[in-house]
Amino acid sequence: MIWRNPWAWLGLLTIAVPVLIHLLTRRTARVQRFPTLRFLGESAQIAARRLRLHDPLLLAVRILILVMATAALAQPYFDRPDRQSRGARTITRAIVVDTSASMQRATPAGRGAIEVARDSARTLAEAGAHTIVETTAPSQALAGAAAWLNTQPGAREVVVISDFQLGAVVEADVAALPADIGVQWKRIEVAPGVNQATTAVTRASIGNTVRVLAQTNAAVRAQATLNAAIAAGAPIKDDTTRRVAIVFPGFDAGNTQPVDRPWMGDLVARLPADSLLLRAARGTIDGSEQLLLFTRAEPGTLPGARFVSAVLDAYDTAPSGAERDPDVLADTTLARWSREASEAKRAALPDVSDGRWFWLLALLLIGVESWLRRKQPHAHAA
Amino acid sequence: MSALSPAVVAATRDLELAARLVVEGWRSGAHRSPFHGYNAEFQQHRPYRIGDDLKYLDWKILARTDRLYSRQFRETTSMSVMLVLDTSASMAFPEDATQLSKHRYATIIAAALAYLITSQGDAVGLITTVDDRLEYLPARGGRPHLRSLIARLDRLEAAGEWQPDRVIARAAELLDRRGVIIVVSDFYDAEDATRTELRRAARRGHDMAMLQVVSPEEVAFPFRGSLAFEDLESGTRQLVDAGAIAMAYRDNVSAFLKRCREHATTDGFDYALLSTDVPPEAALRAFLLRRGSR
Repeated sequence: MIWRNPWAWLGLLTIAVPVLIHLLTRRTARVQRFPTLRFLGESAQIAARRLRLHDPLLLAVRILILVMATAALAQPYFDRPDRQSRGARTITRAIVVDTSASMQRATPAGRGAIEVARDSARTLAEAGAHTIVETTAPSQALAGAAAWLNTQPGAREVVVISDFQLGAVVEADVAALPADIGVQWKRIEVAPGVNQATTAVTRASIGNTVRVLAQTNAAVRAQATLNAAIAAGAPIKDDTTRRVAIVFPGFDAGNTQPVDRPWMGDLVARLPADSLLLRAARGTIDGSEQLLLFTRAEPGTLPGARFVSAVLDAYDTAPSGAERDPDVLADTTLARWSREASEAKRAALPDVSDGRWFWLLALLLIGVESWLRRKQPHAHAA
Repeated sequence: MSALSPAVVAATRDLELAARLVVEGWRSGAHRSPFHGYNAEFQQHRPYRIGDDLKYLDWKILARTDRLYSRQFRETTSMSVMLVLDTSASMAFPEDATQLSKHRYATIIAAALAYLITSQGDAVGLITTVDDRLEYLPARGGRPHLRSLIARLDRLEAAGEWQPDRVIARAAELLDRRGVIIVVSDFYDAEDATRTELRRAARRGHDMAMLQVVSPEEVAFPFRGSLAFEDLESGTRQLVDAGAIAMAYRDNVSAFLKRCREHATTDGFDYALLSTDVPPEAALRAFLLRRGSR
């Protein structure tokens, strides 16, 4: 139960009134003229200054009347399950649909991830007022969604529908949302095997790992900058303990040493037999020690891309060293960032109160009080 | 026979009419005089005949001669009855005008008795107190005296206190012959002294009767809450929690009424408890029938 006007409970102080009335009734005791006092008994005489409750039941009923009236003024709200669902339908939502490249993939069921996300957004939108924002950068769209929700009355909520690739949303975005706005995350699962069809795969280290898909050799060649970096033997993993450089033909790697680090040998052993690896060595590039993998494949070609992909796979599955960064935000992270609609629901309550039931009880009690008073037929005879 | 309700009787302002209504209602059944014995004078003996009341059988002659003789009496003079009426303030209860007060009830009973006694040719008198002063009307017969007595009754008001022992003693003295003294009161005052005087009057040869008048509220005590009870006679007040003491009060009243009845029985007095919610006619009938069967 929620009390929308808890300050009204201060009204319980009025309970003192009937108590005092009961205690002080002695001073206004009605006079009953009677033939003789000899049978009344001395022991039953009320001491002149003694305070005593003479009708506790009547007092209790009067106190209950005040309690019920106070409770009604405190505007109670019964938080029943059916009301919770009813309340959820009245929440205004800003629905952010991620349409970034990662959402171009298919779901395990075979449907496009964006299509599934849009369907989900439409379903949510049917429940009440809403706005749907399609964006390739959900992180940036959150601020706009919050601004729109701030113009809406009642309960408000942001729903983000995405596969939640790393970087899609960061914690700072969630923290920037007003506290009375709920937050929901709806993950769209994509099929992991979709990359098997790719003909070229490259990765670049930009803080977090980003997978760039390319379907054709032309597309691979279009990644000129990236490929150039690879061709130049630039570090392709931001791992300070394990640095790997791929040395394409024609690149002078300088002085090299035999592979004598355990992780280097382990990684080399994980490369497939047909990986176009010429040799492996330990060398120094840009002042840091690296594993140099010499290949006969040319950069910007399909074999070159295959080799890079094979190296990255071997690198990522290597047991030693730092763990591989996750591709997507973990469910536990999303759960931590979620805010239940109940936070916003309190703001949605002002139009609803169950005080009427307490008023009804108070009226019934007034009837009982009246009946109790009438049960004293001769108390007013004097 | 229909009993007149207390409300009807209370509404009858004419006390003589009320008395007549009460008596005529009771008289509609055949009966013999409930007042007999002391005022009848022995006349002669005659042989016992089957059907004679054994009460008149002369047992001494039977013992001496082994013969059955009945005694015959001649009512030479009328019987004298003295009505002693309690007019203390306690008899004014209940004071609600819509209810029959004990005083009014006692007055009607007294008037009815006077009417009945007079109509039988006997003498009836009245003694009571007004402002601590004895109010006395000697026992006489006849309609004019009855009207005078009823008029006196009608003027009486329940006020102040009274000394029952003093009034009863005076009644016993003023009743020159052996007669009947009927005390109509609630018997709240001077319980022991009253009993003493009643017994003394009985020893003087008077036939004593106690008619104790109570109100139902005095017995049932239906009060609740904090009430300041004010004594109608002394004016003193006592603040009580009526609901809390109700049980003890009822016990006390029951014990008192039982004590009065037992004392009357022990001392050989006629006794009747008259509740103001019982029609006077019915109450009087019950009393007189009981007395007539003695």
